[in-house]
Amino acid sequence: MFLETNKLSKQYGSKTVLDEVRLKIHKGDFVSIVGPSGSGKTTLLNILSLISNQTSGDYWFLGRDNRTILSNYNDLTNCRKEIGVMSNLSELLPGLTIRDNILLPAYINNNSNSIEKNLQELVRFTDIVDLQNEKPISLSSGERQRALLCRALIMNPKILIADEPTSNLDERNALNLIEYLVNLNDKNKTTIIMATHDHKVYTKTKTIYELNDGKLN
Amino acid sequence: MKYENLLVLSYFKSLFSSKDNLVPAIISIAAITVSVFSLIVVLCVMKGFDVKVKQRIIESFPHIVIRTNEDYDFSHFGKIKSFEKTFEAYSGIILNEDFSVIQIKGVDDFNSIQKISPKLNLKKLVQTKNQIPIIVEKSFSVRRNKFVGDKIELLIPDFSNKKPKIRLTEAHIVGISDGSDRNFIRLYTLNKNKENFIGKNESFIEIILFNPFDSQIVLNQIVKEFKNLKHKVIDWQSSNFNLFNLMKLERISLGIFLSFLIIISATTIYSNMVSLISQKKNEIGTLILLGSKKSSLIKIFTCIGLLVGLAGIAIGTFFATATILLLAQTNIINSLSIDLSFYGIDGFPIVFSATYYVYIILFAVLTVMLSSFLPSYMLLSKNVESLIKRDY
Repeated sequence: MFLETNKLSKQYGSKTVLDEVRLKIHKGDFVSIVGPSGSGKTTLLNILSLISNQTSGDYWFLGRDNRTILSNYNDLTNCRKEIGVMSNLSELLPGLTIRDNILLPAYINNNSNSIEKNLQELVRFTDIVDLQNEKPISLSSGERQRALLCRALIMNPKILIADEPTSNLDERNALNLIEYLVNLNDKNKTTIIMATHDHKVYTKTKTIYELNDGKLN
Repeated sequence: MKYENLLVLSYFKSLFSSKDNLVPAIISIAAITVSVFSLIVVLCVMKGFDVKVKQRIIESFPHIVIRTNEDYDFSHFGKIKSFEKTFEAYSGIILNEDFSVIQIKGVDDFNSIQKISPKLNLKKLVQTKNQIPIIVEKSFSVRRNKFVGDKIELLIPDFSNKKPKIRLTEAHIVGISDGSDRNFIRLYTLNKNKENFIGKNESFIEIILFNPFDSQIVLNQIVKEFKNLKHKVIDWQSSNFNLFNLMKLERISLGIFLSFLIIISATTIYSNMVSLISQKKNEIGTLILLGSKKSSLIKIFTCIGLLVGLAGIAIGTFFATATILLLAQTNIINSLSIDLSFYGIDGFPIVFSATYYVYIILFAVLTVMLSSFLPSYMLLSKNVESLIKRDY
């Protein structure tokens, strides 16, 4: 099993945001988690991305207990290399150009030389080729969203976790993006987990989980 | 380019592009500039004072003095430029209803005055019999209207009896020497007239060296060769030890107090870094999420603070150097009406001291590095996960 949760719960004070969530995600899955605002989608994705930890229950990331991973900073950094995160927690750095922002994970991992082909492919697909030397402030929110996707995928991660990836995109760009993700999932067997409430998007995924008041159906 | 460098550059630029950060950054740079400038200039003035006072002592006084009535030959000592047997006495003189204290210095031969004071040129010398011959300096001659052939009366203290008294002695001006570089009046007479001035008291030998700073070496050589002179010889460095020590103490004290200025100004960098890290919390969270290590983050923010400090150090050093050169090479200080004649030195006492530059710059860099590193380390070495764990 790639990712698995068992009775995973998360509480903020007396409020239960996730209630005994059981989830099994295999390698190559394309999963969408749908649900209304406040249903706990982002909280679940944060736990799956090794950003937050649960109040109770278990989560195994690539067969390892997430609490063990979270307790060791170097271990956590290594595990995060396997995940591409596209969410509002992973913002573009305003002082860097779009190109440097996208290449940042490669710079951090000293891998920027062999990644150029991947970069060109990503920016071409997301239609931001001409924006590479721009600063994030001069981009529209849709363009920034696409740049974030490029950054999440630049290192060819095993898992892509995206929180509302199409939220700032128009319909055409949203469909293009989802087509790209489907293609990525088919071709590279990248496991994709996506939180969305856009039915045009989640109907393209292989598995759909619905989250209501912290309970997964 | 390493991503750390890229981010350092980006964040450093952001300090000057955002209004919130610009003023604190400029205050930090200005504070470091002022403190480095002050420390360098003040210590270079103190050093200049030390150098000029020593120079003045070296020019005006013998480098080694031996208290003895006997004659010694030091001509085989390679480091000795000249030596002269002499005595010194003080007396009073009343001329034109004006009383002055004068110094009387003995020489073996009037022609040897130049050995003691190379700046003096003996112009004219007349011979005299049965009277004490003296040579006066030109300034004395002109002011007191006394010329070759004139007599003057000297009031000489006589300590030969239990009850000291003043003895009136007549002397005859036999020559006039050119100029004077001292603040007191000096008359020259012959050593053979010593008893008229100091009675049986000891005279001494004055030694001038090629390099005055070799005085300790020469002194040791003299004592080694003439063991009986062991407690009778002293060099200019030992005789002025307290003065030099006082100046050194003054320099160290000022250096320490002004160093606090650098420490205080470095605290502005500390608070700037705390503020910058708080502002960049979300970006730091993103970097952590992308795999950045704590050590890299600490390095990035330490470098930003260091760059701010280095800018201040560079500007402070530049202005200090310009000020030192300006003060040393021009008479601009004269416009401030500072009277330095009390110290008997020429020009404003300031010298360029490379050693002080190195010490001050190193100290400033170290302080700035510490004030950049500490907030970065304290804020980024602990629970950095809290920066990305924004729970919903």
